[in-house]
Amino acid sequence: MITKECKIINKLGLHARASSKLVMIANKFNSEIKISKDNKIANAKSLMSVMMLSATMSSIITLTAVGDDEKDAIVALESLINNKFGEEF
Amino acid sequence: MFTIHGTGIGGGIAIGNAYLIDKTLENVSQHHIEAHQVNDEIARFNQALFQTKLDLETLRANVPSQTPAELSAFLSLAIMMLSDSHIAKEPIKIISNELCGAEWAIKLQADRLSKKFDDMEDLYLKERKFDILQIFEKIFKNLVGSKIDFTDLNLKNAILVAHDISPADLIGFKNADFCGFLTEVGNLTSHMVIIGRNLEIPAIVGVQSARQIINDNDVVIIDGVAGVIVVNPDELVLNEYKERQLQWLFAEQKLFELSDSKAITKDGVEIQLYANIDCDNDVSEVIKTNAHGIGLFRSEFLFLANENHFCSEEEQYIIYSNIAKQLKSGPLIIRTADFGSDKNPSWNNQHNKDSNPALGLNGIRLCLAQDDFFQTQLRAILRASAHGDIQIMFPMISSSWELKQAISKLELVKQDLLDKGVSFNYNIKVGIMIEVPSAALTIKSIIKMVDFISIGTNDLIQYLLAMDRNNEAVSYLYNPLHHE
Repeated sequence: MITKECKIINKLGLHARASSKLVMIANKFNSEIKISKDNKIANAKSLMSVMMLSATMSSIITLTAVGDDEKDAIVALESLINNKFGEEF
Repeated sequence: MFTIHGTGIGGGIAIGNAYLIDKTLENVSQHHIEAHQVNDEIARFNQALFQTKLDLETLRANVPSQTPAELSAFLSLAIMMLSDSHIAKEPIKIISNELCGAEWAIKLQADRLSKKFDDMEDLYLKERKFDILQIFEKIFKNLVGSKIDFTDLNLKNAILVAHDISPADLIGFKNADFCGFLTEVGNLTSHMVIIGRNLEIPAIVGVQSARQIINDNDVVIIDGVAGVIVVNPDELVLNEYKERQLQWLFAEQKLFELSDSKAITKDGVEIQLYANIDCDNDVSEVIKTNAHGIGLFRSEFLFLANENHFCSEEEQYIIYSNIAKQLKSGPLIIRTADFGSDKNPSWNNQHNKDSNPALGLNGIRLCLAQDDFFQTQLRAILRASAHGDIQIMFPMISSSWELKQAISKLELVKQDLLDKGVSFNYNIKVGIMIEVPSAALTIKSIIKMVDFISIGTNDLIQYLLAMDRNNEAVSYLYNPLHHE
């Protein structure tokens, strides 16, 4: 199991489109991936679940992955978040 | 309990359960199922989900190239949501855990999710609730479909609540068994009134927002005479209306007993009372009430009843002659197809382009323009005239010139039948409906050319007062006694 704390730095936070990108990437991995924020835990492979975290700009989230490709999964998700989901701002 | 008002179109009092047509997620009601039905409900849900996905994928594949990229992205998002367990799996759990219908499961899940979005602080995310509701609404539409299933046994005690009822739905209505209906649009002169009278059930039209106010399965009382609707009445009111219902039935019974007596005015003139019919099934009612004949057979309904099937000459001939044979007395007056603004066959494409349909290619005008169609109908009527007292009436005649054209078409068909040795009544009576003001004003020259006239009051008043009777905004101008 790998755990990694991340800060959401894009302006709109984990809104619909950003969430969908995250979910798409999470679904490429076999590992079970969870995202938690405050006391809420979301399944990173479910769009609705991620959106309902309502993680806005500057929120701190925790990524947790369990599985054979957990390491790659965390790296991929972390880089997506740090690249502001490919958005310009 | 509360009361709302509309325009009553008669038929007495009905007490039943509301059955909403064109339902939305908002007014779906809980529907309990048995354990053995769970798999069927889940299959229904999955089918609707699959169809919705297919619809959205088709839409995405056909997005024109110049549309902004956001649209495709939005559709992709919606498609992704459809695979999300919150939408795709949760309702299935609800169906099996709570033993409810798929509709209710969707509603419950939609409510739960929207509650979660309501609790969010981020305004942008909050708004996503509507995207999700829209997706649920799409699944729901695919689940219930849009067609009314008249064979549904639960309809027996139903009071239909609809936005509008089109004349094309009429035939379906006739074979259905329900106790009353109300519509959001319409007034005393719309086609719904004809439907209501024909069905002899209580009905109220022009009940604005009825589908928002009334929920499925609410107990509803309809007083079709007073135009009053009582929703979820308390016991006292319910008993009062049950009593009134009995009185109404009693009065009807007494009226029915009068059907054997002659219709004579106070100054001693005997009047022939003829019935109006829309289809051959109506004839038994005509015979039951001892009407002297049929003064108006609205033959256009033969062509509106089934959009996918064109009523051929042979079928028309059989229908017309069967009705004539059944009648004990009097004529059967067949009005040639009177397609118009509120009843239009799908093959008349021109109609949708008309900026002013009521003044367009309607009635006899359309018949004269569709020579084959017109001659086919005339041939069927003439052939049937060998079997009874059948007469022809042309609708919407506006001048003697137009009437001449219609008559010459009839003469042409007569000649053709004579040449072929087909038997028919050569002296068949011909009349017209007076519903265009110009015909009323030039009646002196027109009347010489026909055996009888019939006054079509609804259209005549509409054309005279330049008011569309189906338009609620101007229906207050409908004044048959207009003067000055």
